[in-house]
Amino acid sequence: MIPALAIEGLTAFAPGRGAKPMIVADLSLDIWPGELLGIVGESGSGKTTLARAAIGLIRAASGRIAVDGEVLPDLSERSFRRLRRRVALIFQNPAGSFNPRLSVKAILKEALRGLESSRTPAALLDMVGLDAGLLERFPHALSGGQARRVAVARALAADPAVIIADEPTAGLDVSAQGETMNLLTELRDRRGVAVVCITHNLPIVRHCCDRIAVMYLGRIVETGPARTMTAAPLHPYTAALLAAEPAPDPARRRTGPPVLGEVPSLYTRPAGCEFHPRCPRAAERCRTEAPTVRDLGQARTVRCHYPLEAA
Amino acid sequence: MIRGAAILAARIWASPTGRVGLVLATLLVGVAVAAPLLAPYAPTAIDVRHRLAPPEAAHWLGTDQLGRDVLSRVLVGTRATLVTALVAILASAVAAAPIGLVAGYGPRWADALLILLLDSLGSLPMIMLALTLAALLGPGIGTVLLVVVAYSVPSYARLVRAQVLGLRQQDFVLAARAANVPVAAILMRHLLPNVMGALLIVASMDVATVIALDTGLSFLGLGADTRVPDWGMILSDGFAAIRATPMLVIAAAVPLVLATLGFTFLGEALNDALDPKAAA
Amino acid sequence: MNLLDISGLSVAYGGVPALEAITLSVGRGEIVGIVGESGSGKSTLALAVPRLLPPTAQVTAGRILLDGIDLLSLDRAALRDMRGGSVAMVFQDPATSFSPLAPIGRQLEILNWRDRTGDRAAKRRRIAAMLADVGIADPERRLDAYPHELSGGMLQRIAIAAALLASPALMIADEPTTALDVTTEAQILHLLRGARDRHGTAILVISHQLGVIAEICDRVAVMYGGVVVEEAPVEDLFGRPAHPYTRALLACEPGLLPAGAQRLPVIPGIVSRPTVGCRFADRCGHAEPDCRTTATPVRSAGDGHTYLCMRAA
Repeated sequence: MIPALAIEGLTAFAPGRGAKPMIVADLSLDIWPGELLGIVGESGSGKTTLARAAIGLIRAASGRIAVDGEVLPDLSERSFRRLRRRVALIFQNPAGSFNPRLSVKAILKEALRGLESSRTPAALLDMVGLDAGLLERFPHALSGGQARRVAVARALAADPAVIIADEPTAGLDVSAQGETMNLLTELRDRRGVAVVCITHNLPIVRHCCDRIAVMYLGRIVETGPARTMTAAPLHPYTAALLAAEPAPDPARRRTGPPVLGEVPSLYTRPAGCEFHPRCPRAAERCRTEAPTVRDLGQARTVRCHYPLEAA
Repeated sequence: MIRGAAILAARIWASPTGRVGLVLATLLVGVAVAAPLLAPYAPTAIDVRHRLAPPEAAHWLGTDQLGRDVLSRVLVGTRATLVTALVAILASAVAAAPIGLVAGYGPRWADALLILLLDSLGSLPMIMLALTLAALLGPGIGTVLLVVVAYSVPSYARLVRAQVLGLRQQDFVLAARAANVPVAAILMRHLLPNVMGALLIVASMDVATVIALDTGLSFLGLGADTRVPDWGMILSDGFAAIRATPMLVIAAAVPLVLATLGFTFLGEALNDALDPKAAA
Repeated sequence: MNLLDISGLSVAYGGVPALEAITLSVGRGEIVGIVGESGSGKSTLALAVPRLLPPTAQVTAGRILLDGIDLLSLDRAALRDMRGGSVAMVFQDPATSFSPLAPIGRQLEILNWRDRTGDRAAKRRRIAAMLADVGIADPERRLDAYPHELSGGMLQRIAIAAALLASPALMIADEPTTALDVTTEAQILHLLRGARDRHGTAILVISHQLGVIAEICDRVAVMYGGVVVEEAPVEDLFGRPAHPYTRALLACEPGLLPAGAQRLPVIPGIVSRPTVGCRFADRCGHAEPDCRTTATPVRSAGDGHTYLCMRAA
């Protein structure tokens, strides 16, 4: 099988002058057709930058990107223009991703422009279960749920192979989180599109996604099927993330203090394994030698010298 | 189109300041159009026996140094003043918008180059610029317009650029890029309409600055055609006669303040009315 | 006597009701959680207690008693003594809780204006001790740091230290961990519980996350559409939820669902606010016609466990 989107050795720095910290660090990731992939990370892990650099909204310093097996010749705006017909991005705040002065119809028409598509704005709305009556509305007059669906409708305009959703559930109530994730799941099921859900919400991806990738300081430290990874994490960071999640059950209340410190600054990346200052398993080797990605079979990879035992 | 204008006018009318602005602006435009019919005397009719007369039944606002009727001069001067101010501001905005858009959204070298040019232009002393242009082109309305444009463009372009720099990182602009919207469409559909509001308000407040500038140029004898009066000229005459009577200055300054207020209110109301949220 | 007794509190924004007849109490040293979706009125309630509601809000009925004193009738001087004195607030976003222009130490000194004993060095030592108490390493040095030099988790610790400086009897924490990462969240929750254990501070925690509520609260009130629909000790609420809304909320909680490629449950419909009858009726699977026409009675589901529903659990 050919990945819908293959990212290889992608490196991106923070914008600006002077000492620019590396936000995405030599990151490689394959996104397979028809999968719902969750990318989980804390703030500062570089997940939003990854999404934006992958479609060229932020200029990457180096890396190779291939869509459906077709490798982009370079990382120029022109190359990415072709890629963006196959890979769509949905922004965290859907209402803010619409020009406040354009109607829904104008927004969708614009997305359809220049495409050899017979689709109409009304047809796009229909695909996400919205009534054509919304076409004349302006963004501020949409409810939160409608705005999210319109954002998905716009992403579908070019019939993409991959949809990347940046923090689709942030700031939403549980019920609205469910609606959003179910809409993304439906896209995968009915249109066969690969969906990447970038989030800090581990319980949601654990439940909804086929596969999870865990990001730390701009690198992917563990990937694996949602079920096996969350049941028995390999990387100590994944284990820490899972343990930090407060259980919605007072009987499982934690009593001891949480051990983990805070994410280090991107300006001072630790030497060796970048997780070692927070890692309960860190040994001498972790302080000096950076671990490489290890494939442990059963679709599981980990970047750790001393991974936890797989169950 | 006509229906759109009617809706816009109704929205402006809905706000108290918009109403004041609309009334004042309509009044000014009305006076500018009908001035020859309203003016009791010819604005250039000299009556040397009646110099600097105080307000009286025959001359409601008195007369100036040459015995010309001040009311007639103010009324007739409305047209030249408004035309100069509006054309100058419009020309400045039209010139500044593309510069600001390119500086704010274009490549970094273009930004650096344009900022350098704008700063150089902005750092020239106004008076020197005016004197140089007048010496090269001779006094006249064209010179006045050019001076005003040269003076306003740097600040307008900087305003547009600052707005664009803020907007370009907003999600809707990134989303447009992600959807492969061409750069021209991003500039014209996404950025320009969203910077117009700020530009509109600053430009309408500049009506006063432009007229003051015109005054200064008239004072230096670099203004427009002296046979057609404008408020700047009346003010300039008024300053010369200020020890004898403040009437001339007051007669030109009051309509100037009203015009500025009117256009500022109208500009703000227009900005609000153009916001799609106003429809709700 | 309870530390905080809210009874029949109703608040409206320009005539639109946001809270209706809220009755809730917080005992001394107790941690009470308020859980609800956005628009349920939980943040309005959090701001109503220290009288921090915006001028557009009117309290239309009810009383808020703190130690037997009616907060709604306080004059200016008494209000000043209460805010930051007996009642302290911790807000959602630590990044905006401090001014970006002054060092942390200076801001804490200003917040600690009540402390009149000793010279400046002594006051700074007491502030540093409080920072150490909330787990800030090297507190003396941190006093000179500016907010942008500190992480969100550290700033929230400092905000909690600032709240604790005047030894308040009640701390109100409005979504204290929502802006934080999950590893930091665990630390802040641990810290809040520790503050209660060591200083005896009662805490009113507002959150939309059931996990946060389960982790630190003794008692929970569930809010929906401006009313408290269920109130119970935390084990009861999670173990034997009585109100259909509470059950729906628990059913949607992703932390309680199994792993792997499944759909998430949702509560269909949107919040409605009928003048009579149950507000949840339109979205409730158990609703009958009388739910919409009859005033909803308060029922008891055990010791300290009440809920607002026509149907018996």
